[in-house]
Amino acid sequence: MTTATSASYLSPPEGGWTVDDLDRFPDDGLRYELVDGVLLVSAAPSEEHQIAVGNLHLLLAAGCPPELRVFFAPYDVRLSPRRQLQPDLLVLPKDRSLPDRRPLLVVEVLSPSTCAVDRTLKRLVFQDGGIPSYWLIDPLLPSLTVLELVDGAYLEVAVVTGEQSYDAATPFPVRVVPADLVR
Amino acid sequence: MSTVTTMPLHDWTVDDLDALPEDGLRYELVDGVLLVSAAPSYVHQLALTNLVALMVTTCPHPLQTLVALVDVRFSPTRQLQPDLIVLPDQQRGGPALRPLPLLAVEVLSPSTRAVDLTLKRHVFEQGGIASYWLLDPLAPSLTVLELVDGVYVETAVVMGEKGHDAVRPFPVRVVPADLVR
Repeated sequence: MTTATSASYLSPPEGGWTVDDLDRFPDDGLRYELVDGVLLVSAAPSEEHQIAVGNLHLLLAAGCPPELRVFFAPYDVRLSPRRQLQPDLLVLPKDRSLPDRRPLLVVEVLSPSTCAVDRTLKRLVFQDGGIPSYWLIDPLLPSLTVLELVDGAYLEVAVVTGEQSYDAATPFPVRVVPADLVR
Repeated sequence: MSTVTTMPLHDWTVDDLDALPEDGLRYELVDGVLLVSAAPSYVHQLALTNLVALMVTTCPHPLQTLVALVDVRFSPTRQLQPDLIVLPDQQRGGPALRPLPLLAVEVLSPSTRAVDLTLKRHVFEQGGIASYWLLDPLAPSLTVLELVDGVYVETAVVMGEKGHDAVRPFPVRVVPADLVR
């Protein structure tokens, strides 16, 4: 077992961390995210989590129109000089020259360790960041919660569980059945 | 300085936090996710110092007012360090049991504001902390959340020279503007 000793890179520079500091962090399998000046460090996810991520990626990639692309973590979503998150999955316009290129959809698959952060803090950060759709998948229930931006605030537009299906209209038409994601 | 940098790759527990050095950073844990935040600003510390002075001088025996950094342990994978806490009678819990605070206070700063308003609110609520105060030294304002049937209800928001007459955890009058002078 590894022990927790202070990592030298954890010492923030004068004025606090920025997203550029995260680039210097080691590629050690941990997820490093930044919300304002607060650094979030989380461990590698569970098998249940990865099954759901994999299945949803296949499903989204199959339905994805040519101008968009589906990415999975780790992919840094930089929302400000002091805000950078790594959602489990995201849908992004392919065109890198877009002036305001940001995800149309971000997805977090909940795990016991990240559930509280995903439901509270990340919800606020994605909302502030103007991400139109935020999906939360609980692989244990299983369930899908769909949040969509309406007048700058997330509205819970759907919650489906088990064999129930959700027919998404945005970012592109796709049918999601939570039970299928954990098989 | 070159330290050997080994971070545990599993979900962290509070025991991992105990092994971290006292380096001025605030280390907190929510379900295995580590939160690291830097030292707070001047205005944050000004407001906190004034609030501590007010609370300590008003706090009735046997309650205790303590200032950060004090670990509040909710579970083996949840531990926060509020800026200020009020603890109940220490005798009642017995020596082995660390009682949870009756009140937790966070002084907002640009870096911790989002965490304080969302994640910590959730953790304090689930942890059964009866009162959670958020003090914004820039407004200046005080927001009071109180547990009602297990859910936080915003019972007061006062700005500037307006005072809040708290009943819980003990009677005290808090005037936001006084805290940043």
